[in-house]
Amino acid sequence: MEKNLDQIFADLKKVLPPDMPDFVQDAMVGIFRFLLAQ
Amino acid sequence: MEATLTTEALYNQRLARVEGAMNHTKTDRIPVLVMAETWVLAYAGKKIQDIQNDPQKELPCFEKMWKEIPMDVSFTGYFAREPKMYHSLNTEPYFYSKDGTTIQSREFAYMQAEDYPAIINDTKNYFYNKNLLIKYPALNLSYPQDAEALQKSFFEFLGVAQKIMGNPVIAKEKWGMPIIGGSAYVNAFDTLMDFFRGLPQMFSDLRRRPQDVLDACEALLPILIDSLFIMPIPPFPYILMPVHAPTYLTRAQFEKFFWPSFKKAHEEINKRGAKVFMAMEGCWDHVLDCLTDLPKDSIIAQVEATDIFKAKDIIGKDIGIAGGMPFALLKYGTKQECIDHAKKVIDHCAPGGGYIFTTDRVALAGNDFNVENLIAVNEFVQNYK
Repeated sequence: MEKNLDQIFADLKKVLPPDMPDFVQDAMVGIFRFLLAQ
Repeated sequence: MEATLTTEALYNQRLARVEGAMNHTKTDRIPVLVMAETWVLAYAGKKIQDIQNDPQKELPCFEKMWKEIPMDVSFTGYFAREPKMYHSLNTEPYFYSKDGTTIQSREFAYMQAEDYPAIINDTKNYFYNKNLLIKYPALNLSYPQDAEALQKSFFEFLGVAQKIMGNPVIAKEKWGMPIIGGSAYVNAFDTLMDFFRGLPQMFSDLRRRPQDVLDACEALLPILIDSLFIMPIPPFPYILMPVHAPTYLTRAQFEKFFWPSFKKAHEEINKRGAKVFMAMEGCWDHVLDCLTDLPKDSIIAQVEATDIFKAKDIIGKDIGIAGGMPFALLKYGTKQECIDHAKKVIDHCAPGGGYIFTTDRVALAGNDFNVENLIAVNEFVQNYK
């Protein structure tokens, strides 16, 4: 079965400032994951 | 007159010239764009090793250019790709050149032909999961080694993000300098070619798997658009769209494989209120007329080897044109030869608006051109009526 990377990407939000809005945290991780894909 | 303006007024004046070129409206004069990336290092007397451990050291190199070179708008204000972001993942798609002057890339595409059904039918999972496992060996390690490698890469990314968000603000507030290139969009065909199949395999696919190529481009399109709008896109800077493939395609291949997903992307971007600065890499002479189908006043097309006079005649009423000054002439010509050429280009491209004066390529290395010639032509253009 193929490994799923969702959890280790989600865990990256823990290193972002806690006062950063959740949607911005999601966007930062999302952009990072997209950049790695491209 | 610019020296008497406040920084804010200077920025607004320069931006108005750029927006005039996008919208084909009358402006006080033609805007001058300087397209430079790692060239700014050489111009500042630096090499990559002087700045590689502190991304913030890039900014003073750009600031020297903004201060000393006559210009209205800058292509960028940071280096977008950070090679160190990939080191902890045990890969090197981007690397510093041996002479320490530029950041280079190598082909980094590992998708096998038998993976077409997966990228077509399970696109998101393939794009964001399997693709990453193929490209980055460190992500195949056991936990927590995989997470630790990813986190190191993420820290490097955050340094890049800080530059991307911060440097344009400094350019605006300290130097009154607009940065034209914002969020980047690589179209579906180029994405499939550059980041998944690779150029030789892609051209084999066009003959052996034509429907798979079409279906994969269609499948990738929503992911690419969604990722572009993951954060709100302001009216300026424009979406930076480098386009690689058309110069390699016949007209028939362009129309069949490239155009459908490319046109849909432009229409969607336009519908969402964003505008595009498109770097038309190579020569597009054979397909220029197709571009008249794209939304009017929504694109500035920077031409490289395309005939700029032909581009102005065919697409210039609908699409802004940027370019006209060849690196080769700036490097080997005299000042007068460069100025004479600039005058010829402006006389043809400026009437009717929709024109930005700039070079045919992005400057990367210090010897790409003779900077004294660039200063001379930019000064000429800024004073030419």
